[in-house]
Amino acid sequence: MRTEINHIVRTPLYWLVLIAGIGARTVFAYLDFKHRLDSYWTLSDEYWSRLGSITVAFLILLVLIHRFSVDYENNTYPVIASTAYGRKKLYFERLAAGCLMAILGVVILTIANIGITLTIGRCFITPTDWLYGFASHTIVVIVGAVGYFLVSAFVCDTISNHPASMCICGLPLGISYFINIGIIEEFDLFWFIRYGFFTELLRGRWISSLPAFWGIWYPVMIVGVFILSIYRRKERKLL
Amino acid sequence: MKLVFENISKLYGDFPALSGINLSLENGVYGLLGPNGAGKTTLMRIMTDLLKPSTGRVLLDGKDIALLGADFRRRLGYLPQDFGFYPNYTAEQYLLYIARLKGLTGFEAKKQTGALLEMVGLYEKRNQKMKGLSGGQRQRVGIAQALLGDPDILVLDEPTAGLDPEERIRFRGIISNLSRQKTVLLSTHIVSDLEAVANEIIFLKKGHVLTVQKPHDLLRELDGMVWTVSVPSENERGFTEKYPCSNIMHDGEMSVMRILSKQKPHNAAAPERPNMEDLYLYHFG
Repeated sequence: MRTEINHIVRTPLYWLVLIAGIGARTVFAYLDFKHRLDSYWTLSDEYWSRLGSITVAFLILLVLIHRFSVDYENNTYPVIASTAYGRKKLYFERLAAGCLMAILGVVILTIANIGITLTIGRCFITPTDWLYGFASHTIVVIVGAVGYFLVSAFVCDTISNHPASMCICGLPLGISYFINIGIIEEFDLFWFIRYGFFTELLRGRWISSLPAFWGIWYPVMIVGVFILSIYRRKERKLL
Repeated sequence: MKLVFENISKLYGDFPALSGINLSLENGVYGLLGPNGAGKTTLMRIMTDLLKPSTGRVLLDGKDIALLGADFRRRLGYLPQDFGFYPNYTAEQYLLYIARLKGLTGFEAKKQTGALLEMVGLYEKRNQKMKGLSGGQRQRVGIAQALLGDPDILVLDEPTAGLDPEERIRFRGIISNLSRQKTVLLSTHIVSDLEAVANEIIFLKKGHVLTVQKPHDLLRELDGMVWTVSVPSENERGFTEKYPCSNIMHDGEMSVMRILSKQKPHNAAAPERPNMEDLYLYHFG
């Protein structure tokens, strides 16, 4: 697994996405401090609601899931799959490494947001209730990031096509940002898109609309896509 | 060690890529010869457990390789026909990665990587990215990765493609040295490579094994059938339409042809010793 983690760490795009996200956050924090000082801490607490979740999504889709199609793109899979550990062990190592690096990305963004907020806000410590609220949002984001990574990785592994996987997994997430929860009804298509593809979790919020339903949906989705991935691997003799 | 192909067939839809292949391989170098589309790569992929046969199985010392799984792959080194690589890895990084996937410890991986890069003449290029290497150099990295872990079974699909003559001679030396305790299956269109290293040659045509014999036994079958004929160039076509021709050289207004014929094709025809190209033409021409 260390090799897989090293590979991601040495991928410049991983750090580029994080730096871009942190850079954007810096600009927004400055503008918030300058023009919306009254709600500066509230806006900082809502970091995951837009910019943070988008950064994490890009990190997962652009960088982390690519490991699951790279062997087909580079035609290295015959060599890899003919080694002792190039099938099952490598698959699970890549999943584990991706999960860890998704969590690391969230942690880095968390630390960056706190640091930027303090620096631009010219403070030394955060308000206690703010820190508690932000930490609890971050835990939800970690859960969402891991789940979103797993589903996206399974999809990418199944179809062995990175651009297509980005579209399949990115589209519902992207659309969900434009859905106004105030006007959607339960079991509506847009309700399903809004809540059913990790958007709320990546935005640091547990799902408030029928949580029991989503408590079943998410494990079923993850397990279902995992089984599909395993089935395709067995067909391709990669397991 | 014995590798047995037991009634192997492979269908792609209705197309039979392989039919009823029965082979037994022990230590030594086996050359796999056949025209494009004969089923060589399919056979190799089945042998490396990358492709499931439609019928039959491959047994290693009596055990099905599909069931052996990682235990079989631990003893396997494979160079595919279109050798792929990670462009941004250096040659050394790539070999170290493959070494770890083969189960080598960090120390062993480093040791064998250095030794193999030296063996294939790429030690000075070890820190160069794969995308910066020439085709022949990448092929040599491919040969090196197949040899990592000192596998008992080597499956090499067109290993000398893109190599210059000096590199091909070096490769032959490597294979000859390794063949004593290993089973090597080598597929190539460069028949002279097989003549130099193969203990036995497997002829594959349209998914069937035509014959499996030692090179000199195969060549002996062509004794008295290979001729050199020198005729005016305007008569060349008459000969090439009538006889299989393995080489034509133009010398002024004369055409010097190397042809296959059971009877003497021309009064001035001179008998020649058959070579592997004549053999290939005889079976597949």
